Amino acid sequence: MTSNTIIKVRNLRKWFPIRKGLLSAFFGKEEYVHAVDGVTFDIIKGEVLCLVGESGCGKTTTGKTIIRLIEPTSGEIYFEEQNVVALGKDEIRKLRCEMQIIFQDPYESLDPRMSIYDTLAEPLIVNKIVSTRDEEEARVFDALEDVRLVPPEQFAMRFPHELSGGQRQRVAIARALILQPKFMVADEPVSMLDASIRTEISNLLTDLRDKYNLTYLYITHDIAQARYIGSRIMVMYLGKIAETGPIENVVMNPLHPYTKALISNVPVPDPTVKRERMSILGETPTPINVPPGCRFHPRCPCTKPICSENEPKLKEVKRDRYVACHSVA
Amino acid sequence: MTLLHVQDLSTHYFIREGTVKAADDISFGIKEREAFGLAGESGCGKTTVALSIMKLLPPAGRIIKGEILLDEEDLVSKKEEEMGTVRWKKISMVFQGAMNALNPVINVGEQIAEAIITKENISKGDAWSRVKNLFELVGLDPKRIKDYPHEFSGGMRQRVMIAMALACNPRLVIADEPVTALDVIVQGKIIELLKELQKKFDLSVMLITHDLSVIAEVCNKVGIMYAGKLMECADATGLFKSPRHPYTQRLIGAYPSVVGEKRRLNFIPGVPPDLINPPSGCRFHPRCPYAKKECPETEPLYVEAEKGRFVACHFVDELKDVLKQGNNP
Repeated sequence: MTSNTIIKVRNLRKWFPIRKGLLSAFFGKEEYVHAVDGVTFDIIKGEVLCLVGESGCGKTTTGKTIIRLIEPTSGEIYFEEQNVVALGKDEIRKLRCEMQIIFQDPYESLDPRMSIYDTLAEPLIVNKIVSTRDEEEARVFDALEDVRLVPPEQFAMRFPHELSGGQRQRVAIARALILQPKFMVADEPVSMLDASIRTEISNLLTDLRDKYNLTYLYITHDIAQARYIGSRIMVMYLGKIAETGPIENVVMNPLHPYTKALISNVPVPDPTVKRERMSILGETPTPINVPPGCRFHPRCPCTKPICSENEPKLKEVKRDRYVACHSVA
Repeated sequence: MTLLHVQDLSTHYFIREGTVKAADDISFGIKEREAFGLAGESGCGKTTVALSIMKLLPPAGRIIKGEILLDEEDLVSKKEEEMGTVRWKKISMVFQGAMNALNPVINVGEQIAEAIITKENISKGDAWSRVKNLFELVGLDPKRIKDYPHEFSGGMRQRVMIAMALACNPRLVIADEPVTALDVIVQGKIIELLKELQKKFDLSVMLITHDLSVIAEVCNKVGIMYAGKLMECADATGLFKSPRHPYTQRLIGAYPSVVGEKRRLNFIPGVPPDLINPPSGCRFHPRCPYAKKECPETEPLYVEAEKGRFVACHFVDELKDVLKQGNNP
C-alpha cells in the first residue's frame, strides 16, 4: 500500500442469504444474492472515486460495507493501516469519526422530531468530542456555515419539515462533516433533487473536499453528473467491477462493452448532438443466478466462446485503465 | 395543423391553506406529428397542465379560466360523459409512476383488453388480438400476454403502459415522466420506442419531464415552466442553443452532459416559491440575476419575441446578447 492510499479493498464479498420456506430449508441448497462478488480497489487520498452502475449492481452495498454498516461475507478492507473487518464494536465507533456517510434520501435520513441543532450535536455528544456547551454550539454553527445554511442561529432551531429537500441534504452533509472525517461515502446524495439544486449540492461537496482535504466514494447512477464531480470512475455490473479509470478518459473513450453501452445511452441535453445508442440485449439478470464466466456475456455484443467459460480478470490495459473483458487487450 | 391548442389556461387547487396557483395563463399549441416537451422543476405545474387537458384533476383542482381546444373543439366546457369519447380515443396518457399502478392480481393482457372493451364496442376476441398486436408493437413477447405485473421488469411494465396508451388509436399521447425511475440502458430503449411509435403512427406527443436531456432527445418543441407559469416556448434547437429567458438559460446551465467540454455547472440560488403566495410581478424575479425595478412590480407579458418563439420577460430584447454568452453573471 502506498502512503497516499486511504482505503484498500481486497476481494470483498457480500452475499445475502435468501429466506425460504421450511421444506426447502431442509432439502434445498442455500441460495444467495451475490450483491458484491469479489471486488478489489484502492481509494487515493483526496480523490473523488465515482462508483456507477445500474440499480442492483451492488454499488450501495459496497459503500456501506466499507464503513461496516453491513458486515462483509469475506474479504479485507483497510482504512489507512487499520483492518476495518477485524475491528470490534467500540473501535468501529471510533473509526466512524473518520469515515462518514451521506444517504440518498434527505426525507428519511433525518429524525423528524429532532431540531437541526440536536441532529448535529448528537454525534459530538455520543463520541464525547466536546466538553462544554459553548464548544458544542460553536461546532454546530461552524458546520452549518460550512454547508451554507446561514445565519446558523436561524437554521439550528428549525425542524426537518421546515426545510426544503436541498436544505435537508445540507444538514445531512453537515452531520457527516461535524466529526471532521477524512473519508466520506456519498450514496446518491443528489438523485432525489431537482437539477439546479443538484448542481448546488455537488458544487458544495467539491468545495468542502478542497477545504478539508476530504476523500469521497461517490455512488451514483448518473454518469453525466459523476463526470462533473469525480476524478476517477469505477463501473460495476452484477457485483463485479467492469472498468475503472480516470473519469474523463473513461467517459470519452470507454473500453468495456458494458461501459460503452451505459455511456451511449445517457441522454444529452443538446438536440443538435446526434449519437448512436448502443443497444444491448435483454435486461440485467438477478444477482441470484449469476451467469458463468463473464457476467455480462449473455448481453454482450462482442461475446466469444471463452466469455462463457472464464471469468475475465480486471487488468491494466492502458495506463491507469483497468478493464475486465476478454475482448479488450 | 394544430391538434391541441391551449389558451390562457389557469388551474388552481383550492385547499384549506389557500389557493394554490399551480398553472396560470398557460398558452401553447401542439401540431400534428409534433413532439412537445414540457419541462420544469418539481412542483412547477407540469402535471397540472396535463391533468387539465385530460380533465382528470383531483377534487381540489379546478380550471378557472382558459380554453383547451382539440381540433377546434373545446374540452373545458365538456361534461364528464362527453370526455369519455375523448380520453384514450383521442388523447391518452402514460401517468407518472403508472408502471407501478398496474393491478397485481389481474394479468396485464386482461387489463389492456378491459380498457379497450370499455372504450370501444368490440368483442372480447377482437380486443385480445389487438392486445397481442400492441405487445409486438412495444417490443414485448406476445407469449407473455397472460403474465402478471410482478413478472415484468420496470422497463417492461412501462412498455405495457405505453401499449395501453396506444390501445384506442389516440392522436395525442401525453407521457408524464415516462423514463424517470428507469436505469440508463432501459431508459434509452424506452426513448427509442417512443420516437419510433411517434413516427409510425403520426402521433403527437406531449412529454412531461424534469429532465431536459430526455426532452432534447425526443422533442422538437419545448415549453419551460416555472412556478405555474410558462416562461418560454420555442423549437428545441433554438431553445437549447440560445435561450431567451433567464430561467431557461440557468436551467440548461445546470445540466451535466457526457459530451462536450466540461465546465463548472451553474445553479439557481434560492428555492422555487410557494404557489399559494407567489412573488408579485414576474414569479422568477427573486432568483433572477437580471431582475430590475419593473420585475417585482408588473407581470411580464408572454409575447412572441421571434417567429414561433414566446417569452415572458420584461427584458427579452435587452438580454438577447447577454444570455447568449452563457454563464454570466
